[in-house]
Amino acid sequence: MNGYNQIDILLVEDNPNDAELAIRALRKYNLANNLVHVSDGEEALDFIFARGKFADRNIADRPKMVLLDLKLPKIDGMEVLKAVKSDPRTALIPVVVLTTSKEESDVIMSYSLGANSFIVKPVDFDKFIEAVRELGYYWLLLNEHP
Amino acid sequence: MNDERIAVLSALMESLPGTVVFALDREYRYTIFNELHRREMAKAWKAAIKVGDRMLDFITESGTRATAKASFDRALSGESFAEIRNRRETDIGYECSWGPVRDDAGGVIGVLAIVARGLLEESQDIAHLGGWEYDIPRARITWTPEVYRIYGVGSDYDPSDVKRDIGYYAPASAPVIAEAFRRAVEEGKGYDLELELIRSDGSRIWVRTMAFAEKEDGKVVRVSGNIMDITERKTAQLELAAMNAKLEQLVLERTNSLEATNRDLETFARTMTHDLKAPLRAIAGFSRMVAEDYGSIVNGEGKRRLGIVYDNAVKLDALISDLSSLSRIGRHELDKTRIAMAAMVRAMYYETASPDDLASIEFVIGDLPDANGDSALMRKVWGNLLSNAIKFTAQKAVRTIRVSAEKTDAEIKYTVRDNGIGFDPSNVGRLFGLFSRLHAEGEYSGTGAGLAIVKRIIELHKGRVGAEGAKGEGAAFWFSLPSEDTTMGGE
Repeated sequence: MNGYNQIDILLVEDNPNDAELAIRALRKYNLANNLVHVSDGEEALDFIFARGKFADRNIADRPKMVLLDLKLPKIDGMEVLKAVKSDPRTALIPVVVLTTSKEESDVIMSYSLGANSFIVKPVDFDKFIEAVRELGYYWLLLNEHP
Repeated sequence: MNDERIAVLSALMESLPGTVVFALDREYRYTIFNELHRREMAKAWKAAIKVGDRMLDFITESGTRATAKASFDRALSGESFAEIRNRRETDIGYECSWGPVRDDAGGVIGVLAIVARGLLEESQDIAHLGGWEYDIPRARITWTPEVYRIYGVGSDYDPSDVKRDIGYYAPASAPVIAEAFRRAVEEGKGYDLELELIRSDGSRIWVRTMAFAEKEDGKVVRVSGNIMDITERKTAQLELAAMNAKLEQLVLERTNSLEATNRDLETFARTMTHDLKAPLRAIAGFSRMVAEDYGSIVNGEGKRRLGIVYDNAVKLDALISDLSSLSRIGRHELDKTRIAMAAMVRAMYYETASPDDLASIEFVIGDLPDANGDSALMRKVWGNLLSNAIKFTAQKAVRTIRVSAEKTDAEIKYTVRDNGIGFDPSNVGRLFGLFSRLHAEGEYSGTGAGLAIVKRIIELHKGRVGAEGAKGEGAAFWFSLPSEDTTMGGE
């Protein structure tokens, strides 16, 4: 059952349409093979810290990248980011923040909490594919993993 | 006496400053008196005197009546004399002259009294200023009549009991005056205080009380001072202070409610942007997915229509972005820094122009003075003006865009001039309006918010915007920034 241990991408997105678009974009470039999708902040933390319904996961098997939406039910994206970046066991997981607008305060807050990248979800589908592809390659393939 | 002599006498009596004059007949009835005496009697004995009234009847205090009668009788016996009398309430001495009034035959028919009250007491009375004095070696306090009036106590009140005097002050004021008085007596320190006093009838008044200490051989021997009823002024002052406080409270409430409204608006704009964009992403994304995944079964017309769905979603997205950025401008303080204009223009041009544009446009930057402004907002200004110039020269075989500046005493005017399609000068007024487009939608892209954003930003910088152009002959869009702002910070 250790299907959750070799994970490339954890996608944290509550909007199912956005999630589908993101997964499709990632799949197009073969980046979605080992992808887990959760739809709220609590579930995201459960996964990352291997607890709750992900309790039998090994916390040391870190996802290679977290795609994190900021507006999430239950636990806000910022809170998830803070929790991940302040725990030495998970601090090195690259977190890419996904958001709707370039609200300056969001950008600054995300980076100050340790976000590795920040992308605005474009309406333009082509741009969306392009953004997902670039960051997928960068964080999954080019970047040296800890 | 004939009328003329009486008139002269009356005039004389009234013209003596601070002097009481009256005459009585042998029955102690008034034959004449001056205005000051009338006032004194009214005040001291609540008496409304008139000629013919027996003066002694008004003096209700037996000791004073006896003293007065003795003086009258002495004068009626024919003697003229002067005596220093103490006022009945105070220890302040004043001079009284008594003398007989004789008829033509030399018989005594009455008594004439002249009392010099002294100017100080008179003026204190007018100013409602009370005077007091503490004779330390004799442990005696004396008050002028006004002090009695201020305290609302009768003439039999003995002010020498300091504790009792202080007891008339309101609870909050009593310790203050007690300490001040102690320091005046023991250390020779004067004071000037505004305190609340409760008169004997229970009414509350405000007084200003001052004290000065006199020393002999380094020892305080005498403390004297004034006390004044300032209730009217103090009440007005307190009312004013209360009104000011209320006004401040009101301003604070207004500010708070405005700030709350502003926050609400901001939240609204942000939420609207966020919530409107999510469905748009789905519309654009899924229409594109259909076109890609079902390309084999959707024919050309179907693909065209899916394309329209997609394009409109993207267009609506641009509109929402522009509206949201327009509403954000001005809700924040300008963050002014020195801007190297030429460098910013160059950077914005390369950011805005596509490789094709770069290859086909002759782009010239003139001498652009630096200026102070909000750098993020000024980038938007240049971005909008340059993208317009790029867009509207697209159909020309030779494309030129020139950026120049003119400096006057009052302002620096920056101009972006292109050789594009231009505009009808009669439309210049509409150019900077929100969502006003001079060209059909299909012809040129854009939401029509760009110049409105430029205008809003420049107005925030207290500058002006404008445009000149002719149809088919290019356009020049300019904005100015005030000069004092552009020299600030130095070069």
